[in-house]
Amino acid sequence: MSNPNVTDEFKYWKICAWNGPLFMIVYMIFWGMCFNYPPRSGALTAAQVAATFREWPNLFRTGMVVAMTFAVSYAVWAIAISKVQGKIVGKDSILNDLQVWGGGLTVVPLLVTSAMWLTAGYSPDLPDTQLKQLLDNAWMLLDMAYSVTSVQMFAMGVAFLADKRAKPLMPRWVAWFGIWVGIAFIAECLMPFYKTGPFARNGWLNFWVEFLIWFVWAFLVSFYVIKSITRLKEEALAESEEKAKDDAKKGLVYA
Amino acid sequence: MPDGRTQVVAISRPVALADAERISAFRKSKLPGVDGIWVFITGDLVMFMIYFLVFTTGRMEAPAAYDLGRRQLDPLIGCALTLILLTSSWLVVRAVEAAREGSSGRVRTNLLLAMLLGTGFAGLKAFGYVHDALAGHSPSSNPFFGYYYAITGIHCMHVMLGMGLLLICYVKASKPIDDKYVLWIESGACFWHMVDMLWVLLFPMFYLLRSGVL
Amino acid sequence: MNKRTDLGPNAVYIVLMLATLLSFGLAEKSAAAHIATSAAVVIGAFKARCIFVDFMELTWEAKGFRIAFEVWAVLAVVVILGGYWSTIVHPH
Repeated sequence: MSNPNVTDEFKYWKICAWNGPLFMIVYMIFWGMCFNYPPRSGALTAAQVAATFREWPNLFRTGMVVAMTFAVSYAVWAIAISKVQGKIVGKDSILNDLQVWGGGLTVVPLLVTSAMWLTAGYSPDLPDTQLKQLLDNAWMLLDMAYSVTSVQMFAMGVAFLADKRAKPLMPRWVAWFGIWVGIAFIAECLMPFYKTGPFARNGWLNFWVEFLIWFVWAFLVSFYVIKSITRLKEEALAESEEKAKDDAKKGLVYA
Repeated sequence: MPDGRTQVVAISRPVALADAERISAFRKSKLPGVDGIWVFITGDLVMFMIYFLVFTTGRMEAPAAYDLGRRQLDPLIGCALTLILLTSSWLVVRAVEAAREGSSGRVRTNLLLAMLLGTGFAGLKAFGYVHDALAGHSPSSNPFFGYYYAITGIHCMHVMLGMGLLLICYVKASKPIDDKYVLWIESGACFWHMVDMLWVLLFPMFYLLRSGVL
Repeated sequence: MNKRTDLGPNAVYIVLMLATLLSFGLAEKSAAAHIATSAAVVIGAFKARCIFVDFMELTWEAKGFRIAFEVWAVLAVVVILGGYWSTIVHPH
């Protein structure tokens, strides 16, 4: 016998959890296609930067419109994770708040930076220096807001490590990996000091490696969170059936 | 990945933990410390191998320029840094041994000395950075210094993190030592040794790769 | 589980300190710059190995990790010295 209230609630959790992979895929395509594989170098001249915006204004408009629309998916994903976390550390744990705020505030640099590039696509006739400033400003915000996401990763890692189940909802190594990735982001602090080389924003350390490990982490977390929701639903259904049987024994009947 | 969770039994008095086998008997893992610290160590070793690779690749493109950069560094400072960190690591080994024997006094003494040396390392490194900066070497002045500041800077961040772990272990050692504490100090120690392990390779890479070519 | 080499950590520490001084002396003072420099890097890897075997107590009981660390130490030498020697064999 299934309890529709229980089933519906976990269905919403799952939909929210799938927002994680949705966000990643949308961003890989629509954000990525705006000359972000790799990002444009900090060593480019204003004229070179402007030329890209002027040659491809509609590409930037399209890419950034979609990116901005789906930026919120990251926050929705974070909220789903906090529900699963709450089953481990309790609904009122500060770890849930930290994870949600970290994930939610990660949306801010995503939205703001995309808006900057959307502006450049919308007004490619702006002076070269202004277009370069839009590009550079965005990268400073995008890279240097790393600690916001790190907070999400730390809180999540600590919460899932507190799981005392024989088979934890999240494997311990994934929780630890998340904490490690959150710390590894600190290498982004080097980005403002380099315009070329592996530590620059388009460098293969500060872009490819750092962004790749974030994506790998996000997909891993999504996989295990979605799996956990199924498990938690089954546990909740079993619990609600037990309760219904107990109530029936006591002669309690619910309309 | 081994599950390092333990059946922790809180012990109200210090115990002699002379037999390290007893630790592994209740800990499922065959590695010292909590399992997660090895995730950290593995991740960091992979990252630093990538750093060795990028530095080497950069050096292959301009060996003379890199050698010129190398000559601006003082190898005596590099050697001193290495000796300091090795001594600090040795003190941490002694602290772990003391913890296994249940001697919180010796744990604290060794950890304190280790942290003092760690501070010495960081201070000398900072002195080196300032000295190099005043000499006109910035991350963008030449590729050698670009890598030098970045890679040793990231290493220094690890030193800070390691010191934080040692400090936590130092504070926790004010209470009677139990098996759980031993796990924690082993974890902090492994991280600290990793920091040392990285430096013993960074030292020759930055300070000692003499090209012999002008 | 935590058996170290027969030397013990104190002796390993002295070995590490002496190895450091040796590599420093070799690289700085020796006339045969390339050989001395290579020796300094190999000594560095040897020291790294002493640290993970004796200080970190990474025994063969944790086979996977031990192998990975041994490979890492060898790879570090190969990468650093490979690049170093390539600039000598094929100077720019």
